[in-house]
Amino acid sequence: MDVDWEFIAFLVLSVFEVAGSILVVINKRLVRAAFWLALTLVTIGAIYLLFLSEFIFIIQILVYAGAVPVLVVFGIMLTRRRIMDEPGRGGVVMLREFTIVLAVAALFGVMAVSFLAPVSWPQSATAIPVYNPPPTSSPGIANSLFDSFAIAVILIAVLLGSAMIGGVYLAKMDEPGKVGP
Amino acid sequence: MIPLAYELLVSAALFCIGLYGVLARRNAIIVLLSIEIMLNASILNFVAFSWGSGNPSGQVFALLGIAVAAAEAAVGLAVFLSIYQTHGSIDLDQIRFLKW
Amino acid sequence: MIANAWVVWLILLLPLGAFLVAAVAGRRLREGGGYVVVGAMAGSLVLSLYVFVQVLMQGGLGGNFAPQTITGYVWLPSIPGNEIRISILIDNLSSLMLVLVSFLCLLIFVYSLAYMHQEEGKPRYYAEVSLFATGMLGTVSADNFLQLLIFWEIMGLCSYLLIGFWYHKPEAAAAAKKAFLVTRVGDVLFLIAVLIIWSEFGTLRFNEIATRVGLLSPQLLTLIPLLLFGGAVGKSAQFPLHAWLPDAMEGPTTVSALIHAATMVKAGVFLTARSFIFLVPAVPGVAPPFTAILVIAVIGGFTTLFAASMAVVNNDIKRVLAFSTISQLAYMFLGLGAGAFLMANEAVHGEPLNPAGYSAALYHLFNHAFFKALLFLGAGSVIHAVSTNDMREMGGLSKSMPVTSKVMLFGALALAGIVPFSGFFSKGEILSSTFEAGAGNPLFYLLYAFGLVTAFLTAFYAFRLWYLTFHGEYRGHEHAHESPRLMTFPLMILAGFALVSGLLAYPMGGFGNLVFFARADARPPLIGEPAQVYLLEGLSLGVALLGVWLARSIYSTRRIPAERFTAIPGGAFVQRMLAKRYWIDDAYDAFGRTVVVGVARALDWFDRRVIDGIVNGVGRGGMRIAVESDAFDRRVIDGAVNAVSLETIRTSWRLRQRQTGQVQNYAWVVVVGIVAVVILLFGMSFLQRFLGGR
Repeated sequence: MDVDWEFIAFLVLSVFEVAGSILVVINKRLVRAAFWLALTLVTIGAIYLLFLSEFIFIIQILVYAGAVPVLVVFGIMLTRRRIMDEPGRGGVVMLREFTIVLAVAALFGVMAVSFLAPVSWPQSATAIPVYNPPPTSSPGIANSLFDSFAIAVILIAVLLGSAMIGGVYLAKMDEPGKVGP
Repeated sequence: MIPLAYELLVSAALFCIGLYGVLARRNAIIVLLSIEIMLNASILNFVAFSWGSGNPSGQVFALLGIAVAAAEAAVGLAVFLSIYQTHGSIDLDQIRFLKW
Repeated sequence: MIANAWVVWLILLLPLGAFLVAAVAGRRLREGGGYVVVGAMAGSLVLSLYVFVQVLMQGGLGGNFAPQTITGYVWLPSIPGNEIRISILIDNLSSLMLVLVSFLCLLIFVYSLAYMHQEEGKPRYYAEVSLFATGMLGTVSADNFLQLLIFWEIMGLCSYLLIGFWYHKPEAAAAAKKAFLVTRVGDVLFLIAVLIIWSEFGTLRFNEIATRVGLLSPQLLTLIPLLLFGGAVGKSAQFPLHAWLPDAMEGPTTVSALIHAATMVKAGVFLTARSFIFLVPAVPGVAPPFTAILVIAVIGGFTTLFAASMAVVNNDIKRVLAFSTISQLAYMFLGLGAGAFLMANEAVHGEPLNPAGYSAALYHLFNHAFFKALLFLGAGSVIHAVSTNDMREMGGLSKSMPVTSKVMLFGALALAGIVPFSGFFSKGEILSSTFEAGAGNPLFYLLYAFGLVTAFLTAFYAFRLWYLTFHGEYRGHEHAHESPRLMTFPLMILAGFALVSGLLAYPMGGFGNLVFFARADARPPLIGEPAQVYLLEGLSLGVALLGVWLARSIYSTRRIPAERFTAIPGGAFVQRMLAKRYWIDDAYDAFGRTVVVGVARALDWFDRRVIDGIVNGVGRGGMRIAVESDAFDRRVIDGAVNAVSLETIRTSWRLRQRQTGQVQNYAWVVVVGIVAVVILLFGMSFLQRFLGGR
């Protein structure tokens, strides 16, 4: 029996993924949502491994599995407790949610139909090296990143810098209850 | 060998689920988390196509996307916490600062 | 040729200058500028005599003097050579008239110095009479019809001003208006004649027209002199335009003497004399307009009897003289008519023209000027003394006013036509010409009879006047006295002329010789005439004496009481009719009141209702339009503008509502949009695939 273990792994991981994300958006309790998010993100990282993208896997785990959930949880925890609970709502009429589900379902339906159409998707399944010394016909990720997309890197740096400054600015409170200095 | 189509379906599903979260939840932090889900869905797509076509640009974009997403999540969290400090609530139905 | 012909201009300009001086500076001068006016007139007289003597010496007698025109200034410009100019024509008639007019004006002006001494408004008086003198002198020296008309009108203006001299008196103002309006009727006819003459001949000068008379059709040849005569009828107060002259006596007596006896009213006779160029065409082969001639004669003959009848019953001394003037003027027209008739007949038969009637009429004009002026000035003297015009309040004044009484007697004798006074000769010649004309047309016999009856009536009323005023006992209340020297002196001069002016003609071989118009016979009057002439003259003298006797019996010796006449059945009616002037004045008045006023009222109604109504309606309509426009502007246009802005505001309000501030709403809208677009796109591609390709 030649089982395609990759495929099965993929299926399992995707189930976990979808379930996790559903649990994020459904959840009434903030902290639990954060943890389910962490699960979802890690699972996505695993899928990256399946897609032979170890570099992205590492980055995903570094950032999404390590930084973001921790950030969220710390943020929640370091403020008052009330932020954790979402105020309940009389669940008698949930027209709003229903409409949104409809719209979202419609969108998914359309996308699904188009994706399942008999179109030949690219399926080369090659591993892309991180770095290939130039000159080479198959540039690695690093080649591409710092060669073609150098400006993007710089911009990302600017972005991260400004985000940091912004964050500091927002966090600073000279008077309690006021934003900024 | 994973047919790309299934992967696309998964990422589509993730996107839609995240979209639902953005639209339907009142808690701002949950919305933030949903946005992270959506971003991840699209980054997954990038990686899949990069694997499928052998073009490293996909992984480059994935990298850049992760960076942006992380920055945005951090800043967003900071903003929401500030709002909570000043207004005592992060119920999106009640945050109407941009109202006319 | 007259030597120093330019002095002729001075004859006109001296009185004109005196007019300006009196008008402008009269208040500061002595006697209101009267002395200046008298001096100017004296100058005019001297110059007129100078010209007249030259005319005589250069063959004026017998018509040997060639008329000379002194060309003057351009009045109406036109093609060069054809302009209308103010020029002076010197011929026998005009030079004689210049002397006559200036002499009479001078005497009357001297008289005025005393008569008007106490009056207010002396500068005005002297200015107006001086302007009048200019007008009369200009009329008689005119060279063309337009110039004649211009000076004619100047005289009409001065007559109006002077009749209404005492303008505070309503009767005087009304009389002045009446005079002006009635003479206006005549003036319009005169103007029409001038226009027709201009259009037919292209010139208005007497000499030039005389040679071209043949150009006219017979109708025009009749019409033009009739129109000119119409002007004369107005100015000389003949029937039917006679009504103004009796009322014109409201003015000062000197004015009545000057204008309404001696000069202005004679202008009509003068004009008719000048229109002989039409009546007796000098061009052979042109048929004379007998119709026009007969009209002139008939009106003259009728008016003379008509006016004399009204003089008989009048009690106002001046009005009697006014009617008398009308009657005597009518004599002159009768003479002109008869003379024209005779001359026209002779022209038709190719016989030499005998200007008997023509010269008789002008002879009478000459004489009448003197004795009528004398009578008026004498009446003025009487009025000045007794301050009333009514003869019933006079009487017995011969004792207190001996000089006036004697000169008035001379005047009455001349008027009545008693030999050897001047009136006898001229009236007699007119009557004999009329009788002669009767041979050609029996109508003239009737007119002769009228003239004879009128001679009787004239003598009667003349002596009635004299007896009532100067005989018997004084019936008034004033203290009468003789007038000052300045008044009696001109009276005496005039009385002298009344006596001798008739005889003046003898040394010159008949008046006819003095007045031109073809060769006249060089006969002294009444010598060597056929017996018929003596008979006629004797008849007119006898009739006149009869009138004198009747007047004397009624008013002086009281042999026949005056009431006897009114006792005759119908006598009272006749008396009333004559006193009411045949109700003609009332007829005119009624006509004016009903027709003229009626037309005026109708036009006024039209103007007020229709025209003002239209104007007001337009005004109201305009206002309506304005109001409507305003309402439209306010409601519709402003409404539209306001609505637009309101809608904009409302739309922006509604759009604003979209901005809820809730981020999830925005995201939701985006999603809906994306879903819609995606469904659309994919739906269309699916449809294509499933329906099209496969």
